[in-house]
Amino acid sequence: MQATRLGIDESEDVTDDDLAARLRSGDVDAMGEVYDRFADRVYNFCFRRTASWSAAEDAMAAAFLEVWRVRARATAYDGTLLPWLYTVAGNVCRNQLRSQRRHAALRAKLHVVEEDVRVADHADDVAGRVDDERRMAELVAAVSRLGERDREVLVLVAWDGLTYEQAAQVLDVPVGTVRSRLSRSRGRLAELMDRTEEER
Amino acid sequence: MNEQHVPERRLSDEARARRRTELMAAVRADDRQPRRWVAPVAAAAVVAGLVGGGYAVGRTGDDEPASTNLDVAGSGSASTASTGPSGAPSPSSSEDPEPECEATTLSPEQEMRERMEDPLWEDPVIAPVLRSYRDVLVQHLDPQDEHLERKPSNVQTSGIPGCDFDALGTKLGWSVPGEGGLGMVQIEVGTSARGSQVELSFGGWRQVDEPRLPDGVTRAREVHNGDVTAVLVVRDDGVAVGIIADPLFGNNSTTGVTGFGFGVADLLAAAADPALALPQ
Repeated sequence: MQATRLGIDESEDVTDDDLAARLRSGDVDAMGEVYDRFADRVYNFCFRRTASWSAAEDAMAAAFLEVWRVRARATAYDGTLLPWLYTVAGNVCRNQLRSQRRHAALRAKLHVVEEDVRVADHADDVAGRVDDERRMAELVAAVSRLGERDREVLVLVAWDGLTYEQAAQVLDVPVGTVRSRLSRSRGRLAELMDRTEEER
Repeated sequence: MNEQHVPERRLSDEARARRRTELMAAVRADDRQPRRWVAPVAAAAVVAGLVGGGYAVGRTGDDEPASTNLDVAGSGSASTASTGPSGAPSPSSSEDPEPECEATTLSPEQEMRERMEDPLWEDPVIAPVLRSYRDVLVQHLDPQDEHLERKPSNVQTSGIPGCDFDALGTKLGWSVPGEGGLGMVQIEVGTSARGSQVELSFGGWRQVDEPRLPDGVTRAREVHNGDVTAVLVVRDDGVAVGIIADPLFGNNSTTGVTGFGFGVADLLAAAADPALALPQ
């Protein structure tokens, strides 16, 4: 499926190329505009890696800070900053997941009884968010059985909605490689899911 | 998988506004600070010897100072990665109101563990720079992009722990279709040729004659050691670039390639390319 264009505040007057150039020159206001334009996209990108809305929000915030730190590299591919933003956000999510795993291991050793903090959530759609997280966790678990290279390309194209060309930019591989990996990952995933169904 | 529903949501208005406020406060605070390199470089200096045949070496008695507009602390200074003072002032410290570097508080062992989990060549700042080095090499040495390893997977650096660094490089595999061996092209971009890893790898360097110097190059040296060729260029802007072409990538293979499709002139042209620069 292609990701929908969530909450993007796109002014016709300001292109991503303009924003990239202003970011590179250290324009603080451009950082705000990039955030306004892409916050939801990066938020959902991070959710698809963390399967947790709260973790995704933290990761998104960290990702935009990282974007500012590496602003000198800001580049719009094919007129969009998304591939570059996803590259930065992907690194942040990976680091966060590593930290979470270490924290989880420590917590397991300490036998901490985790309270269900969700009951304190003010949002009316707590149940929906929990459902989202459960579903996303299942999907992440499914694709995690693929090799890393195949998984990356599948997620970028099928979940994040990038074109083959944009995914190639993010992964720094030729477009042909994206196509072949995508084909292989789809086949492999279907095979894995069929096997899972049979085992149930 | 395409038929699977992938959940999507918008940030709540409250979260969006709060995160924006936090971000812009951090950005504005950072914008008032002088830009500097900190964490990745500190780790790089400590573990340089562990990755990709990395090294860290002191630069003393340098007679080839880099341009002062490189925005790199430690340029041409005596700096030893493992023992250099973390707060050592750079040569430009007299002009810099905030010369102090932020030293790492981690032990070398902790640094190593951190860095092994988070390879420097995947650092979001360094990785694009290494890729830009590869792009230059492809342009001059491998225009069909069929020989050079596609993604840098190692890094070599030198510098003062906790501060900026004064050299950055990588080794890329070079394969030849139909052959099982692996060659290597190493590139190093730094603030000085003297004491660089490329220079220290060989003896018997010879000056390249003036007519063979590419545009924008102040001086250049070359060396041939068996099948291995290396060049060392100092550009007009002070940047030093060394490139080694070795038909055997000894770190990763016991069998080399039969040769390269380029010559010394191509290596010099690549080294002279102004796109090669240290991270800002």
